[in-house]
Amino acid sequence: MRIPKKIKWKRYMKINAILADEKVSDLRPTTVIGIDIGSRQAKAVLVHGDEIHTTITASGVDSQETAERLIKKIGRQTGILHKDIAYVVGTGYGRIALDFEAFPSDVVTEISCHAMGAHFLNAGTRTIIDIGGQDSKAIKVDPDNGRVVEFVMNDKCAAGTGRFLEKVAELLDYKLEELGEKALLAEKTLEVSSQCVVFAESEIISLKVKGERREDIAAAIHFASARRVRNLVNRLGLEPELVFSGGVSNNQGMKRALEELIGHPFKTTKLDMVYAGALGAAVFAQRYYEGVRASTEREVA
Amino acid sequence: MLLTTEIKPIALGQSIFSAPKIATRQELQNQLEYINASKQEHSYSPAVGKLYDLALSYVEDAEKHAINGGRSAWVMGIWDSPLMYALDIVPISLTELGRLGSNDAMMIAEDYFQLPKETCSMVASVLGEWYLRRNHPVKEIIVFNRSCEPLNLGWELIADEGFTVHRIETVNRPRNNDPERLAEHVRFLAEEFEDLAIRLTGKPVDQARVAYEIERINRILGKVRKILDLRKNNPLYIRSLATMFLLMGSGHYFGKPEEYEAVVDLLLSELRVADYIQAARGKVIPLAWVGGRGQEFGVYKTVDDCGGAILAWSTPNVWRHDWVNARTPLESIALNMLGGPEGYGGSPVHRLKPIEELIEEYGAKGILFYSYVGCSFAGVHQEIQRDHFHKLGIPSISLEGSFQVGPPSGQLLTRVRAFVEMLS
Repeated sequence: MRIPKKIKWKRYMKINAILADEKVSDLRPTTVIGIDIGSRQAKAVLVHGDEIHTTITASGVDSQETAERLIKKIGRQTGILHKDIAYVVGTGYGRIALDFEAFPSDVVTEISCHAMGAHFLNAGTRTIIDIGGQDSKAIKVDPDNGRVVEFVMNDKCAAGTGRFLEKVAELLDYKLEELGEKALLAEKTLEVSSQCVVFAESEIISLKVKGERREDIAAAIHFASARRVRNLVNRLGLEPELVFSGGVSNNQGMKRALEELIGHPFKTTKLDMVYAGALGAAVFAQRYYEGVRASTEREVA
Repeated sequence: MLLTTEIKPIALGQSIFSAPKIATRQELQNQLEYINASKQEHSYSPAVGKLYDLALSYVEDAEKHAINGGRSAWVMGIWDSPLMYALDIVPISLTELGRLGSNDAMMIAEDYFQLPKETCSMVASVLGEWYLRRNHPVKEIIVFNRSCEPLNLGWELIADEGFTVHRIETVNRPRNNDPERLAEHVRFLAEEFEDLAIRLTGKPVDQARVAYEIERINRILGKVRKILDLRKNNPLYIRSLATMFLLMGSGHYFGKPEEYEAVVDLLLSELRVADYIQAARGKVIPLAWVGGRGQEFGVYKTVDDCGGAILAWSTPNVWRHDWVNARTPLESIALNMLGGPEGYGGSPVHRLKPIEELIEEYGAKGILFYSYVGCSFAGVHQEIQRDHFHKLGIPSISLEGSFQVGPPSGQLLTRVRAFVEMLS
């Protein structure tokens, strides 16, 4: 099986090089930041002039501290000062704890932000699969405006989430980053019945004891997890174009398993979809800033 | 920790961005903290403050009543309270156990009663909390066998802990609302009530007292309807959590009928002249709540804080119609328990039409379906209803919340917030 080449994402790009053509004019040159504090990774997207900058770090215990670290980091990358930032929107698992004194800010759910981010990267997006560190979601999007039409979320079990895959990688003695690629090297279809983080451990150990190859076990785990995500998509009803976002979207094994099970390919985008939520947050930040400005101008007039 | 942000109404037309920010750094940890925070948010309303005071003193005062020689009993607190008051028994709604209980209840359920972890959180929490209260003065529990099977088993377990459980055999609303069958069921239930009265007091219930209590509940429900009607034009004067307490109180009056009615009167008079309370995001998205009376109070707060308001309520507290007069007052209770004119009892299909009417009347843009974690019955109900309203083009979201004390999960609040954002 051919393993797809690993894409090297740049940390800054011209807006017109990465956004969907029809969305380029919708972003203003205003300097804003979208921050997506996930359960495992925290991401930031800074929009400045005609450029988009990204940065990523591990989520710490304190979301506020993590957010401030991201802002400092992206500031160092770009030379942008605090006073230049017009608005910040926080999203993700840690958004509830965000409250900035230095900037006007707001919070928007990751569901709305992933929808908006995916829409700006691929304007025809109608369905999103978003798999993050601790839950998975299927989101239906209005392609006219990037707004959420319907969504369904699996937060009942960890199957397929980053948290689950971390555990699997550990049990198979792989690095997390290589787990998906190893799954693509499978030669045999194995059945894995349990997808619970707790019970999967004994099932994986039992497969290892039977002498099964680690690659085959990895593939079986990805397919078992993908079946649950497929059920979410089935509940909403798949409408192309389909996009894969969130922290697990770079896992090629999961991508392949989902495409096979759903029977539909994912659209590729020019920005790492790990940043889709943060990009969406930046879009909301621009809109909120424009709202404040328009309101202030009305008051002055 | 309590919210420290002072929340002030802002003028109509003001930018949403200059509206007071809701500080979210300090998460509220349990239901009591949510009640206290809500009380603070309603500092402009003496009536809402009194409503919460009634709720907070409910169980303790009912227990004091028992210590002082009166009689109090744990009941469902929905259809049964008029009968209890007619028997001079202060009804304590068992739903208060989840709301005002302790963190240890779930551990007791799992470790002492050995309930599986998957057990409905309501059943586990109620059993655990009763066990913790086994040395408290109120030891009588009056229940309908109509409750779910896990609760029916729970009554057996708690009876071994020194509680006296009075069970009422019951029936359900017949399929297709067959009037003859319904009349049979009503007669059967009324006989059960007569037997219960004799078991509890040694004598038949005074039917005139029951009639008086039905007259009282109808009078109060009429006022509650007026409040909910006025609230359509000023949804955040009484925010969603406080409204849920208002509705719950209409079932049992928090053990103090006269005081509850006085609060309702005060609330009504406040609402008639109240200034409009502006939402944090400018316009309010009217929503419907269908299902259990959620114990995860953060859900209500999130709805209000992010621009929604629950205006249409379809919960076990039936409030949209007066109790119907039947041949006898006890038959009136029976008929109301089986669903009355709203046809709520029995199959969830009976509720579809009333919910449709409710949504139309209150202009709800979406439905929040709520059930307790582990309640397989409510989960199926939700699916039937979700499917029905999906076909009608009405957006909905299914929420599962825990019954016991504790903060709501972040993911539950994410769903709620995303749903309101979607409708905004």
